Amino acid sequence: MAKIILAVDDSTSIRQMVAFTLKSAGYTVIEAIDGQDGLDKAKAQTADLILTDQNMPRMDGLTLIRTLRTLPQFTSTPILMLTTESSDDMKVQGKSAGATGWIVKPFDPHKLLEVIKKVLG
Amino acid sequence: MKILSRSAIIGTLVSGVLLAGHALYFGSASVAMADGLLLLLLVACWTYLLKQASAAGRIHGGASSGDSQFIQKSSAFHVQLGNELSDQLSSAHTELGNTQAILSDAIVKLVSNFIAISDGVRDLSEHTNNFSKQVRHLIDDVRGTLASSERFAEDTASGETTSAMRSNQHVKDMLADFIAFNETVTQNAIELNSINTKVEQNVLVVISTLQFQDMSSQLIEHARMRMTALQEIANEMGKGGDRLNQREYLEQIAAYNRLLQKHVMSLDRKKANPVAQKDFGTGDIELF
Repeated sequence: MAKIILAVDDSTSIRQMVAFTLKSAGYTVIEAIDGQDGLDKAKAQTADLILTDQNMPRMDGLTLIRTLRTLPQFTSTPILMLTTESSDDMKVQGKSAGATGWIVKPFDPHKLLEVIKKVLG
Repeated sequence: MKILSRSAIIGTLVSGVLLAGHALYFGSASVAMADGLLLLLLVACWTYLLKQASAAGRIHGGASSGDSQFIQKSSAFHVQLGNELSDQLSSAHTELGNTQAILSDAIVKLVSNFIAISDGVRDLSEHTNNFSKQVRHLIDDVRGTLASSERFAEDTASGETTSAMRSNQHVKDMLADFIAFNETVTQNAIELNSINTKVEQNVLVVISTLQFQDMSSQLIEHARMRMTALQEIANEMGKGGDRLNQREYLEQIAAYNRLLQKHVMSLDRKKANPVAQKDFGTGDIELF
């Protein structure tokens, strides 16, 4: 059965690109338009991996990760940040929030798929 | 105003002393009375001067006429500058917003179209594969039918064998054509599979490149945020004030400064720009 990936990004074009990349590799993709939407969809449906942007309206990526990590069903789910933020300070914050990894945009679709495959084991 | 007041007070005191000395020196009651009257007149004159000086001070906040003119002109310039800056910033803010919206709309359509092309080629490739399989099944069916008809011909009488064999030959010829056709379809399917792979690869490359819109959009948003802050300061300057005295003018400058500091601090907190890239290489990946 295809693994389910929740892609959270406020940019429509980035969501389209992420979804295309993941679907072409056989994953099922659920899209969310911001952190709050991501949180609602994560609670409503199961996801094997979550891919989230940082700067979004309503709820940013770090807050989403912190919130998800407090929920029992998401304590060990891999969560990858996919963002233009590349400062060490932000990465440290991401790590302490509970992110599994940090991917800086623009992403290379092949590398993204490699990382996801690795993280999903 | 202060100099004038001091002169008035000192002048009054000196005049009083001189007149008192004059009265004492002559020792005459009429002289003393005349000096007293003169002193009163001087006090009245100086009091009038003091009142005038005080009134002038109230009007100009202690500034000279030249200073007052400078304050009025400077204040008017601030108002004009504030209004002009506010208008220009507002236009630039709107233009950047429109650029952002157009760019976003164009990229969404572009990505959708690339994905549609890729999906279309994949569908075509799958259909061709299926068609090739169907033709192969058909050939297998015909082969089976042909084998049974050959067995049937062998079992029948010799007179009928000739026509049966001829009929069989027709079927064999048709089958050969079918096989040749299927080879062409199979070859096409292989080529389409290859095209599909290439198109998918190209779309993935396009995906890396089209992400510039997301980065540009964030940079534009950051610039707009700074513009909004500056526009608020410009708006405040544009309100200005009419016929300000020195104290009011200085208070106004201090208010601009406070607002400026507030925005500088606020922007400082937000100034860590989310986009640090200057070229278009794909970003790093780090697993924790």
